[in-house]
Amino acid sequence: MNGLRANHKFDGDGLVAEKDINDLLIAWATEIQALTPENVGGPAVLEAFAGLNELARDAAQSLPFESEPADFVRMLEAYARPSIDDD
Amino acid sequence: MTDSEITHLTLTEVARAIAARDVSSVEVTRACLQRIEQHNDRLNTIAGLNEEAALVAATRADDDLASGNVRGPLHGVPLAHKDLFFRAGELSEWGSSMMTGYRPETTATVLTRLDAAGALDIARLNMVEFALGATGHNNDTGTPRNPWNADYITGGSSSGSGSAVAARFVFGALGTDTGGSIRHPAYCCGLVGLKPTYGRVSRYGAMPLSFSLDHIGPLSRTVSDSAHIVQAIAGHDPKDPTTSSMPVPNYLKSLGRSIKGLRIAIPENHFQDAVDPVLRPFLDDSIEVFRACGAEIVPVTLPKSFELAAPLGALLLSVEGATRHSKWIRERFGEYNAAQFNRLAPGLYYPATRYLEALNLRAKVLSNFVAAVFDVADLFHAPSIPMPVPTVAESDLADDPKFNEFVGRLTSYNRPFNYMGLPALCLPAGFDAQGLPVGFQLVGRPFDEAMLIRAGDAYERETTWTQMAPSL
Repeated sequence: MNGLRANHKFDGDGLVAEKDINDLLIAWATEIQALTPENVGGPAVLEAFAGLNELARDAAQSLPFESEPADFVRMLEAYARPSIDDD
Repeated sequence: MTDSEITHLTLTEVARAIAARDVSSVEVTRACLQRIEQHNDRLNTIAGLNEEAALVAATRADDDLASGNVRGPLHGVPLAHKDLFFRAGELSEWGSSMMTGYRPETTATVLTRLDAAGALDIARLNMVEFALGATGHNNDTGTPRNPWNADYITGGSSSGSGSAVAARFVFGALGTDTGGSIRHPAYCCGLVGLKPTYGRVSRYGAMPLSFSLDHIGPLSRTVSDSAHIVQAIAGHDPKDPTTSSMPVPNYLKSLGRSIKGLRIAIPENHFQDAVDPVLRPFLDDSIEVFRACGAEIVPVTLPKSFELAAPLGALLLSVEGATRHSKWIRERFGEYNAAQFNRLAPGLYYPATRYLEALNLRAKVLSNFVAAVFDVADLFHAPSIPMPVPTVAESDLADDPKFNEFVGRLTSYNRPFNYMGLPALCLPAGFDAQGLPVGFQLVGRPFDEAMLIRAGDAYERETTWTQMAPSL
């Protein structure tokens, strides 16, 4: 996890550059995938994630907020089009 | 017709035969019950069965038909469903010894709607404990077996649904799909499996696992059969506020249609590396079938954000599942199967901000995917499970350090479409050297199940896979 801090640069406002967001998120998601029952234990997990909090917060700043399931259904509806066969 | 001829009809055919009174619902139901009695001990598909009640329901269906009271397009057709759909006063045991004897007080909307369509509900089907597993293993109920070869998995978590339909015990079954659990058994058992769009089918009265990812849909032998089932169950439900009010098209109008000019996207990246080489000819052949039908094949490059979908979906599942089970994880952890506990427990430790960000990111991941794929194509063709069907023995890895990696690989191509809420149709594509099915999936735009049905049905007319049955 500390490797992430070392490998990502911040601008003067402490924000991760847009182009690095995807790399950062993929690295974060990869770390999550690596969790196993052996390394899941309260203090160890909290320490592991502590280094990510600042980075992930910055990454999320530029992303739209759609957290409610009902909102997500509205988003899916926005991409729908009439059925081709329903004449 | 002989009992064997009856049970080898498709849902569509038997519904027509019952409606035309060529065969009675009682004859059909008796044939199904006879087949269950002959073969279930070996396949371990059935969680609960009341033969007398099934025949009473079939008799009532025949009496109604005789008096001109046709309930609906599925009148008198025996179905069975994964043992997590509530029916008031009836057992619903979720594949777990922790739920033994549970009788809910309400009935699932999907069952109410199938009842209204005239279908019979003759059995509860085995499943993975709490719907949390991709292979079908279950130490509490025993593991259902693949009718094509009982040494092999059915896929999960709708394991009994896949086994029962492939074995011709019933003419169709409902399953649930949170990370592939309709499409895994469809792939492994050589069936059609449809995961509709998130919000298309009510989840009221079904055991929840992950409210952001749970979907309900059919497993069946043909695309037409799945179309009939989803036609009955789709649509807004005031009891489930996550359901969409978008009108439900007539999916049956999409059957028998040409797909000339349809654009089907195939990925140039992401899906290539992890697919077992033995599957590649089947996937390529399926693409050629669509091409021969007149579809245009459009290579697309998936956005980098697509890589987030599977791990972020896993995070959502873990957190929402752990929340649902938080009391029991703490108080009754020894009663869970090890595989289920090991997947739920980490969800207790993710910070809330990570969980909310995983939800937030769905919008970005979805919009990027739609732009890359559906701006240039009507459907997306992809592998489903990227490996041949494994045996029950070799995939029994719950206590093995390789378990997470194995499950991750098994589900990695299905889970992204749960995260994005997109409809996906798993179709059979042939049989491998061991005689086990191989399949693929088509993914559609939101609420475009009609396009999936049109293309899947066209593919089926050019192939013979859905006509083949296991020899029990």
